[in-house]
Amino acid sequence: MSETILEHGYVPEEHAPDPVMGHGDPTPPGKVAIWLFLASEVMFFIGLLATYIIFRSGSPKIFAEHAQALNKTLAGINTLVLIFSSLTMALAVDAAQKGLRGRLIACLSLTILCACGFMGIKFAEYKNKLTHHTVVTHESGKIFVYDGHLIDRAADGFKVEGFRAEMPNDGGPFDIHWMSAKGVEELAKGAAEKEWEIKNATISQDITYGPWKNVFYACYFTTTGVHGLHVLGGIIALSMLLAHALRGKVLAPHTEYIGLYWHFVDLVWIFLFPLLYLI
Amino acid sequence: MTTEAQTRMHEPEEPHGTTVPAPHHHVNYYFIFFSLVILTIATVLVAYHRFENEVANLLLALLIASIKATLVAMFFMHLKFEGKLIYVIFIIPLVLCVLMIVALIPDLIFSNPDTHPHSSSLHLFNSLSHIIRGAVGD
Repeated sequence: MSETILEHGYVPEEHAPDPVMGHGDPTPPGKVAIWLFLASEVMFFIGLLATYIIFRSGSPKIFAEHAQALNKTLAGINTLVLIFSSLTMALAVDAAQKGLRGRLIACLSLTILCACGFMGIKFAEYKNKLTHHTVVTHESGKIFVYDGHLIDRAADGFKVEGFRAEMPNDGGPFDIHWMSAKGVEELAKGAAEKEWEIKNATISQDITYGPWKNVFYACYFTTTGVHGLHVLGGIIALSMLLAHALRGKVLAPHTEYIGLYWHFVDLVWIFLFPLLYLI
Repeated sequence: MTTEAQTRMHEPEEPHGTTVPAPHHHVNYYFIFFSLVILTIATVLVAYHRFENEVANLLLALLIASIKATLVAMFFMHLKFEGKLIYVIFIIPLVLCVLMIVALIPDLIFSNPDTHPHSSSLHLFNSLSHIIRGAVGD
């Protein structure tokens, strides 16, 4: 029976040339799979980048003015945190390939810690934006615009810390979506930043610096949000690896594949950081 | 003297279905890390020291980011030590990315907000939606 099969060109599986890789190429299928996944991820992020380029070229003033209001220091620290986590991930892959379980556990824990640190800083940044209000009020015949951070909320109104300016009555176009903290500061003509109490009854418009604020924040929240989801996914995968390592299993190929994904997440941030925060 | 490839050829082939331990590469990860940190600091410094030309700022920032990305891909992701197949998988989306950016150039040229209030893609979108609405009878 087996001889007949051999005559028909059948080669037992363990001696067959790899149908996907071709003979002699030692690339494991898992690695090919993760690189294909990363290739599709590149296309996903380039779509977002193209959207950003088009929106930026359409409204350069909004992008220039609002990008300045982002916290460069926090984002810079986040960049360093992510680069450091890439280092610990590379060391984790190295440790797994050498079968050093103790070093693998230490490096994976550090990587997860950095990832959580990144998300913590991101959360602080988002919270800062979502408690930042621009408010237009009608107070005894005058129109005021406020821009500042929410510090206290009461039943009949809330308190913000920031700037207040009387709306210029030149009949020019006004859009609350375009207004920035710097814009209100300029309108206030040197008046100091202080606490303002705003009554609900006087408010005609109120907006926070969320994705609904303007096209810049839409880009900012979409790109950093999607990147943040990738970091969260990385945390889950890394935690599973860590759980295996703690139970005594050193999964060298899995560590390498998840490492590749993790470096890719770092790579995306390397481009997002200057594009959103610096230029 | 035998090269690495020659020694590998004479090694008995690993049976399929087992995990082949990946060959160990000597990369100084700490050196790559410090290079990345220095380049990050350079990005921030360049951003604070702005040049007159906005395009120069943009290109410089993108150049530094590309160098950083190359370092991460080549050494952290071991691309330098991969075979042809991985390179092919990696190059295709990069070529598509370049095509995508090149395809945006007409929009960037016609989006000067002083002369053209809408970028051409938005303009196209508006005209298209006008035509479609007309066809639907809305």
